[in-house]
Amino acid sequence: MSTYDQVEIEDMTFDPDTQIFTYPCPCGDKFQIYIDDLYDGEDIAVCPSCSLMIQVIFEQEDLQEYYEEAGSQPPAPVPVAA
Amino acid sequence: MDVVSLGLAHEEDMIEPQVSFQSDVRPIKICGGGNFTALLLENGLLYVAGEIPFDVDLQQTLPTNQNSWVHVPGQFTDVACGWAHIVVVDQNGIVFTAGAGDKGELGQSKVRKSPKFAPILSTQQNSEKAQVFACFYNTYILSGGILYGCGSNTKCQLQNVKSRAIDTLEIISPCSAIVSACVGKNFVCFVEKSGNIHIRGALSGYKTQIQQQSSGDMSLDLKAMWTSITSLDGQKFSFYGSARLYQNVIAASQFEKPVTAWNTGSEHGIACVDKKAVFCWGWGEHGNCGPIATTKAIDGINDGSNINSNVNLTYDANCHSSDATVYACFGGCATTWICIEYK
Repeated sequence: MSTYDQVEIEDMTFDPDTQIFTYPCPCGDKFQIYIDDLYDGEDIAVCPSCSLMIQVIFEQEDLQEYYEEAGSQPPAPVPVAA
Repeated sequence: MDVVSLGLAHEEDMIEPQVSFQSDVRPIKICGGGNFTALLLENGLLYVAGEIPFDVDLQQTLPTNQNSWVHVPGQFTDVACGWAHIVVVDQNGIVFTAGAGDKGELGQSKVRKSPKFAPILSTQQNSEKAQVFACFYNTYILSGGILYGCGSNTKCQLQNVKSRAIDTLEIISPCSAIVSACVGKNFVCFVEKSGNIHIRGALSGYKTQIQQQSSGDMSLDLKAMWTSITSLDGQKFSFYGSARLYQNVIAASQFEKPVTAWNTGSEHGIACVDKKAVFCWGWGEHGNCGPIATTKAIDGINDGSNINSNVNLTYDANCHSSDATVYACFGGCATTWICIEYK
C-alpha cells in the first residue's frame, strides 16, 4: 500500500476524549486513527477529506502512556474458540 | 471538512479558477494555514478567510464585498501561516503571532493559544524589512541577516538536540548574512549572501545536492512544499524530496518562454510563463492543479479528475482578456492563487 508519508507516533496529536490520534494532511484536514486500532496492529491513518494516508511508526508499548492519559485500557483480547 | 479557505461564499472544491478577491491595490502575498488563508495587499492591509484560528474584531474591520474575506485591523509588511497560527510583521517592524500551537510555534513561551496578536520580536533596528515564514508547527523570522525560529524540533530543524517544542525564538543561523529562506514540514532551508546553502531538519541530506546545483551567483530560487524543495535556476527547475504525488514532474519540463512567477503549495507547484499562462503540477486532488482534457466540471466544481497532475495548463490570461497579465502566484494547502492585473 502506497502511503503519503511515515509519521512517528510522538509527532501525532492524541485527544484523550475521543481516543484518536491526528496529524495534519496537506489538504487541510487531518489524518486520523483510533488508539485501539493501533493497538490491534493497524498502522494506516486516513484523511476523511482526501485519498491520502500515512503510516504510523510505533511500538505497541508506546501506547501505554496514551491509554493512561485517557484513563482507559487496551482492548481485551478476543477469546478464540477451541 | 468544510473547504472555506478559498474565500468563496461556499464550501465546494473548485477545479476551474474562480474570482475570489478584487482590489485596486495589488495582493503581494497569499499564504495558507491548515484551513485558512491570509492575503496581504501592497498597501499593508491584511485579509483572512476560512476557519480563522484567532479573534478578529468585526466591529473594527473595514467593510468588504470580497466574498468571505475578513479584514484584520492594522498595517503589515509581511505575513505567514502555519497549521493553526499566523505570523505578521507590522509597519513598525514588530513581529506578532496569533492562533494555536502546541509545539511552541507561537513563540510566546508557555502560551499555547493566543486569540489576540502578541509581539514576539522587534526588528525596528534593522533597515531591511523583516520577512516571516511558517509551515506546520514552526515559525521563522529573517531579520538583519539572522534567522530566528521556534516551534517543533522533532527533526532538529531548530537545534541539534532533538526536542518536542521550543517555545521562544532561538537564533538558528550560524551567521548574520542570511538573505533568503524557505520552509516545509519539519525543515528549513536558508541561503547566505555568499550562496552557501543550509538545510536543517527533515531534508538536511539534500544540502550537498542543492549546493552543487547552485552556480553560486545567487540565481538559485528555492521554494518548499511540505516534503520537498524545488529550485529554479534561470529556466531550469530541479527537485529534491518526496515525489510520490508527481511533485517532481516540473524537473523534466522545459518552457519555451520565460517563467515570470512561480510558487509552491503544500504538495503542488505553480508556475506562470510569459505573464500569461499558469501551469500547476503535483498533488491536485482538490482541484488545485486545474482541469485536464477529461475533466467534466459543472460550474467549475472539482470532479476529482486531476489527482496527481502532470504539468498542466490551469489558467491562460489570453483566453480571458488581452489586457490581463499574471504578476504573481501562490499556493496553500491544496489551494492555488493566481494574481492578475489589467492594464
